[in-house]
Amino acid sequence: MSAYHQSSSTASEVRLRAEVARAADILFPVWPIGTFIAVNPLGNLAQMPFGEAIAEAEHALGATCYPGPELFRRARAEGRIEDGDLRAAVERARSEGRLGGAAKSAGDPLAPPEAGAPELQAPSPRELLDRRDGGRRAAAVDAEIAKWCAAYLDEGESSWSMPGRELGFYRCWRELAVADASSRRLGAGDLRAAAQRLPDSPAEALGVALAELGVDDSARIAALRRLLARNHGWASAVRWQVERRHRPEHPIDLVDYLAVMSFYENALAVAAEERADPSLARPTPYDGEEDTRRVRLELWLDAYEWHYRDRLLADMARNDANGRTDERPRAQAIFCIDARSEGLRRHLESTGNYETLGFAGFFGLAIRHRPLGTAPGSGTAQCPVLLSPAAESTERPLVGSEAPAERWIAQLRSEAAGIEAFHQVKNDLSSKFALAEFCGWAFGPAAALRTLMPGLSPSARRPNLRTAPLVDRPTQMEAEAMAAELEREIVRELIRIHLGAGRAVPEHEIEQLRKHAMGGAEPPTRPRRSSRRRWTELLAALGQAGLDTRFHEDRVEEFGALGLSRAEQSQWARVALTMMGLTERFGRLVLLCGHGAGNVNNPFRSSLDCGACGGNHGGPNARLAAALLNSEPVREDLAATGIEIPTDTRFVAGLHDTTTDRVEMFDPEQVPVTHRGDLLELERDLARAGEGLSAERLVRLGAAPHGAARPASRKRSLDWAQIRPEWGLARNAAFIVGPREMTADLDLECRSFLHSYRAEVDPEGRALETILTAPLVVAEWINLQYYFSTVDPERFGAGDKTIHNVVGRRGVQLGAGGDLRIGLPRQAVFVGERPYHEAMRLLAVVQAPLGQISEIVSRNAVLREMLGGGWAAMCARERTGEPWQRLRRDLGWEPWRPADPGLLETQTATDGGAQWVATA
Amino acid sequence: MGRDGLTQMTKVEVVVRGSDAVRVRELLTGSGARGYTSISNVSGLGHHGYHQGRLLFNEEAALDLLIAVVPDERADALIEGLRVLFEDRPGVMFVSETFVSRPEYFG
Repeated sequence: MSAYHQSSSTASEVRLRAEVARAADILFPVWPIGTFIAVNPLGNLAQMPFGEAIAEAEHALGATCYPGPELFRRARAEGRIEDGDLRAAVERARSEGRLGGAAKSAGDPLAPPEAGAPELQAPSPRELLDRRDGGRRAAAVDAEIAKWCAAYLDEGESSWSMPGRELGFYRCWRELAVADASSRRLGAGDLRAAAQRLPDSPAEALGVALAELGVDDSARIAALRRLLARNHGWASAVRWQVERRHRPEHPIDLVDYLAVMSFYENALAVAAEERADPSLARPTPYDGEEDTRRVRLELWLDAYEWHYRDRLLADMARNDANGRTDERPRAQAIFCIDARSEGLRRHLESTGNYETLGFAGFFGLAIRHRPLGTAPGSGTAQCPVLLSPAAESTERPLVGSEAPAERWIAQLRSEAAGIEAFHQVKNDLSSKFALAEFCGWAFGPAAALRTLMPGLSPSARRPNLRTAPLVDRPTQMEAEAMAAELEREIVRELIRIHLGAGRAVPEHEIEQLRKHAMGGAEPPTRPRRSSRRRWTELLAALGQAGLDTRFHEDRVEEFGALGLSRAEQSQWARVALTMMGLTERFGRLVLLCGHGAGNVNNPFRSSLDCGACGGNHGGPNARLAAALLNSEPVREDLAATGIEIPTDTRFVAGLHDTTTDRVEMFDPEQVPVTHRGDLLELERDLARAGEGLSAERLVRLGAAPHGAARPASRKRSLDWAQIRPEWGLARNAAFIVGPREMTADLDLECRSFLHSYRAEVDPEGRALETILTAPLVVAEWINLQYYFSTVDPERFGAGDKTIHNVVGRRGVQLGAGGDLRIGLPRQAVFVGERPYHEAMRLLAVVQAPLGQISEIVSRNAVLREMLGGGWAAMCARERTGEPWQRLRRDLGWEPWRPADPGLLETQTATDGGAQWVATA
Repeated sequence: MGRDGLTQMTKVEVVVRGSDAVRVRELLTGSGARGYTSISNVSGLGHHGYHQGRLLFNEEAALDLLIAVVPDERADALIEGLRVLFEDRPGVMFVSETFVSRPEYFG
């Protein structure tokens, strides 16, 4: 049993826990940086309308939550906001009752908003003291909290970990704080004795501290919010630990965290005799009063958004003349809904008779994937964070690849051991400075090559192993055999350790040793060439390795959960094909294309990978999906439901590298001879499409090449000094659900998530409900992550990449310490001082029956709040050619009317303004 | 069947959004409950309208039902905590007396 226990059970302590939970609504979990997940940082306020949530966040966090007046003035000057847009925004707000009493005091809506800081909630005692005497106590306490959090939440970065973490954060900290003389620098005297007097229960300690600070009951939530707002990033990391890490090895919750913070807060107040300071005692909670500044900003934001949206909808309306042909396409290519896929789809379609589709990049397969050579229980969750992996996938070497696969696995082990040793030396204080002396000669040439000629530097790659995803769930006997093989492998490893790598032990003796370890057999006779001592050590190690019946049963259960049953396979295939509307007219070749971003020396690399795959590459999902759709039994089951996949249709898997615009095909050698020609054509056209897209993207990056674009992109991807390998999802603005004819031939500038859908194959709207409650939600999170990282890069963004330090594999700090930074780095959304990303809320555009959409929205709170609360907007129509309808905040429909009626008559640039190009 | 030999305790059932379930679980364990039962993706009609049950690709948007049994002397603290939590978010709780055969599991 863990040494950690929660002992609080008094009514006042449980009440305090509930108040902490409410105060923590201003935080949203921040994922470890290795699997960066784009989130709405105000996601826990999403039950409020957007404007109210913003008011709350401004008040509690001191954050800026709207684009600034300067941006709006510039947009007006550049024609990005026109008078008509503003008048239309006022009309929308008035008709939906959003102006209220503030309409009059807001004055002329055509006048630009005034600059002004939001009103911040009353400061905490240390902030007050700092204001009074110009001290730096607030920053000093923040640094102290950051120090303890970085040590406690370390995920394996440091080789010297904080002792006592199993006790839980508060108790672990208390054990060390009683001996930590460095707290003197806070200016509150020696705090060791005070730490000694702290109670065992963190809830009790927090309650006592709040009482000593004079916080009355009615003000506790506001006071707790103020404390959480300091070191907002670390508190958000704690929030992740609480919500997302089940049975953590090192437990922590926000009561622990606040108990520690309030200890320092109280100590400073006591030292300064500010015990009963009225401000923290009665901080002003946000009273919901209408604020004319916010009303004006909201109107201008609305105008800014609809200026873009009007042009998008008008372009799509004019595009209705594009009909679908009945001709069988040369091939179909299914990409992730990610906005970056739109560019590759557009360019691929321009090369020939290709049909492209969009689907969530995890292809509906919520799997935990373990690549060849990785340990059971490891692996990555290849699905959106809204889901838990429902199955485990792995790969197996094909006949003829067993030997190279074994060599690869051995290499992986050797490299892992080397990397661990390197990091141990690197992190060891005594050897840190000597490391460069000893190892610099080895790393120097490679480092120089990578710096000077990034395009030429070698990249370590897995050898060309022929493997296949494990598709079918193993039978009980197969799972038993796999578990036994794993156990034999452990025995072999122990033999290597104890008898030496060169010692060959016959397989039957390895099996005998395994059975001995399991407790059911005598060990084999000691080999003559092995010393008695080493043999005894081996047998002892076997006894301590935990190879018992329980271990065996657990492994059998794990292996028995690999892959999918036939029923699951067929169910998945039917749902996936129906969701994307691909139930007929299959081409000879169908590409399932995941995506990932190949770039180096970038802590935020996973932010450029596939969000639908949990911040990972989508390749494993694409491979598994292709294998399932090539399966004869699955096709038989699909045919029984009316989905006939022709016998000459072959599914293949690929991976779109969004940094280099290359598409790598998986397992091309497994494509039948009859389809090799089709594959070669597709690969040729994907290369042409990639070249076109690279040229387009490099212009946006301010790096238009003189020659071929793809080599320039590749060079950029390998440049370890590159702070902006690609633009990621910057400027994302719309989520379009419907057939590709709606958008084919339009240049959407990689700004739209595209989800394929055909209402006619989904009469009950089940697929639509899945699209709106999951992919749309993920897209909205991404959109709001970019929004908030742009409107307040200090509070909601990660700051300047050039001074980032990765801490504890959790995230980054600026420089040597301080708060954990949340959100996207400045270089992901800004060019110099000017935002590259256009901070706009997402517009969902759906082609489906309006009644069905309304029903889906009304029975799903997540959609009611998103669309009724103004976190995103929606326009829809039932059929091609019909006029768009706008979903009002009261969830009723009204005809969409562009602010400029002339838009429907003439072609315009989609963004209505100059192409924004990076110049810095 | 009689209740002789059973021990009376308090059962607290909570219906809450999947995204808020973690807060309720924290309160349950923080109040000393030794365990709870959690049922995900429940559906039904409530004050805020109809709530859809299981969604295919979103486990967090549906409602969860959490059931805990605690000794009577711990119930008031837990109930008070839940009342505070639900002051600003959707969620309902049902409190009833119940009887258990193995009180040591709950106390």
